Amino acid sequence: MNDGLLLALPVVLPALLFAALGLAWLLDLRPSEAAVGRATSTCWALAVLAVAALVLGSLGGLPPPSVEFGRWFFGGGRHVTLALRADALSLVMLSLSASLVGIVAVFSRRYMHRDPGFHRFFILLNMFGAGVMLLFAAEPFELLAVGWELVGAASVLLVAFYQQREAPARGALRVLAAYRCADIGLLAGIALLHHAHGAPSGATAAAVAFCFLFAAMGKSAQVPFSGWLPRAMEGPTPSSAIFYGALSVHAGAYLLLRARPFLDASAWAAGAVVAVGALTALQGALVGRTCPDAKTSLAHATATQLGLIFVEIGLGWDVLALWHIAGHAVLRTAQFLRAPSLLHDHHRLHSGAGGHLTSAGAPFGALLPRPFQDWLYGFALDLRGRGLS
Amino acid sequence: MILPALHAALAVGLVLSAPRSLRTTRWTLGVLWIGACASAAYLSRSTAGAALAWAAAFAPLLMAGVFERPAGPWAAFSLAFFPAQTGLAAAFERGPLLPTALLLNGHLGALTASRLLAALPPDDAAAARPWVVALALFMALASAVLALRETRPRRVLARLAAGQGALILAGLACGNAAAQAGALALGQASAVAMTMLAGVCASLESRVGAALERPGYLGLAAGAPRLATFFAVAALTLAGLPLTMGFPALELLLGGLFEVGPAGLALPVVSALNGFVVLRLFALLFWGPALDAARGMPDALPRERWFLSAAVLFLLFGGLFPSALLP
Repeated sequence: MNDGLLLALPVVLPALLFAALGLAWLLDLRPSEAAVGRATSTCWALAVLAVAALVLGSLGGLPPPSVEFGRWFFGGGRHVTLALRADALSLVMLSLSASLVGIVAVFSRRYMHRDPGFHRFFILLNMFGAGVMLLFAAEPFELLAVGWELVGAASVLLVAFYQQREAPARGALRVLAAYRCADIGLLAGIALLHHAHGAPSGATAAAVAFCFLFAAMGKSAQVPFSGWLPRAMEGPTPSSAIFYGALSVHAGAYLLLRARPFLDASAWAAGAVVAVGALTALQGALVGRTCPDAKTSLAHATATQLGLIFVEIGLGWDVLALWHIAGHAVLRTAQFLRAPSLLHDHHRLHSGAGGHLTSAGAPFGALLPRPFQDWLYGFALDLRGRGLS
Repeated sequence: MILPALHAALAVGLVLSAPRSLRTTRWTLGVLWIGACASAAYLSRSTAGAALAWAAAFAPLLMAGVFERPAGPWAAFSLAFFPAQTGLAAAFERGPLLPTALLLNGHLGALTASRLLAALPPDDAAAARPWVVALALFMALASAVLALRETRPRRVLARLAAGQGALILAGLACGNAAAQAGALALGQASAVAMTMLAGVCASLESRVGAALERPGYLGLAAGAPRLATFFAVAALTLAGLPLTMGFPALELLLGGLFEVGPAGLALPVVSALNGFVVLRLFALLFWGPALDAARGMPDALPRERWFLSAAVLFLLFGGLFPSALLP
């Protein structure tokens, strides 16, 4: 099959499935859980095969595949070209995305079984999948922005998945606020690029780099936007895994890797990337120590690693950053997917060790007076404000 | 030709889909009059014709007994002083929602102002353009910031309508082809999306009454998931989400405004704020623990569903194939 078509397949298939499932829901047609699950798994299996073929072709020395579908819209001499291109950076992210979304889709068939929002979850998962594949395969920045926005919208809607409670709704609004801030940077950067006819230099290149850094900070939960990441954990665990462990949070780092020519043109921008990353890593590491539940701890651990990835990008170590992204995404997805079974795992380990596991932090906690320990425990679990301690 | 036909279609759609409690003969004639005046303003080739049609569109709002509640003369008149509509929020809050929204979403003020600008001698027009663009962007930014303070649905819609109108004026006054194409695309997208939002709000008001003004989360998605979906599509269009018509409109407008100068940087900020405000309104209305009144309330009725579905199809078609609708 033609390389261009192979590249388009992983983007188009999830988009078509999203449209079909969404239309069925609006028309009040209710396909069975098994049918939705099978269609999604098949779609992502085909996407993995297509990307694998592209990777094999690339390893065999073929040039980076690309495909162009013409102009999307134009008015007053301005247009967006519908072009996809998969260089080494894109191929790594596409392989990662197709595999992880596929794994999460299979996991979710059981995890979401008989949940009233089963269909809604899979509609949004496929919307996210289409968005993330487009984000990583897009050639022009305008098309990257399309994927970026789709990922953001799916993310907000999934954080508020359990919408009958107030906490997820509040968390989703916090995520929305951070994402909208990030969008300002992306849109301004793209407009500056267009204004410079795609080849900015000097001050314009530095401005583009700073705009993209601002966008990346919001999307990848860097200081001062990092507060949204723990709040996003209100969504279902599989979506937390794929969004905030694996793919969505790395979109900012990917944008910076794509913006390498502009970062190279401005030492100040590169320095700012290092500073932001270092600060986030420090903040994530410190705050993560105080978290009482598994998913929030994982959120802060994710922010810490993203901070380190930013430092690597700022220092120009792109290959290391890319490996770091890949390794981190895979490990964190596994950790998030195991998070609901954490207590079970711990008890099994505890039994296996003959009941000799020392609880984390206990030696330090024992130094404090007992009443203060109780107060701290209640404070950490936010019980005092609700009069429960 | 798209905009005149669109405004006529929106007026007919509102008449067919509005809650039965509103649809008296006078109400129907009043709404159709506003739609006809908006269409006439866009069809008119002269500035005076457009201004006359714009003024005529106000008539039903000023006449007692046409709509369910009077807008009040000051609120209705203040709608005319575009873009500084001081009484806009009051007009939306106290006046008839659907006719006021229909009138505002025509953005006839922006149309008339841009035609006045075009009628000036070339040198005067060239000197005035940057000032008009800057003023319009400032008004859009001010509306977006004011909207952040609002949580009541009608007042939020008022601020959003004012902000969209100011952005359209900025694009039309800009003088370059990309910005004008973007402004016209935004005119279409925001007219449809804002009318959808007003239509859904009117439907919800007819179901839950004054509870819609209650602060906090209302959880109405529990009773009306399809109305929530229609509202979400309209909100995402105003937020500039790709695959809806809001995205090409925003892209073109952004490209065009940047050609003029750094004032264009305000557009991403306005867009981000407007997107946040409208999606926050969606969250407040449809998420959270459900109101007692929301349990067992009817979802979108067939007459509402057909109108809102057609509007969604228009927004998605415009998002996927914008060239078909752009001048």
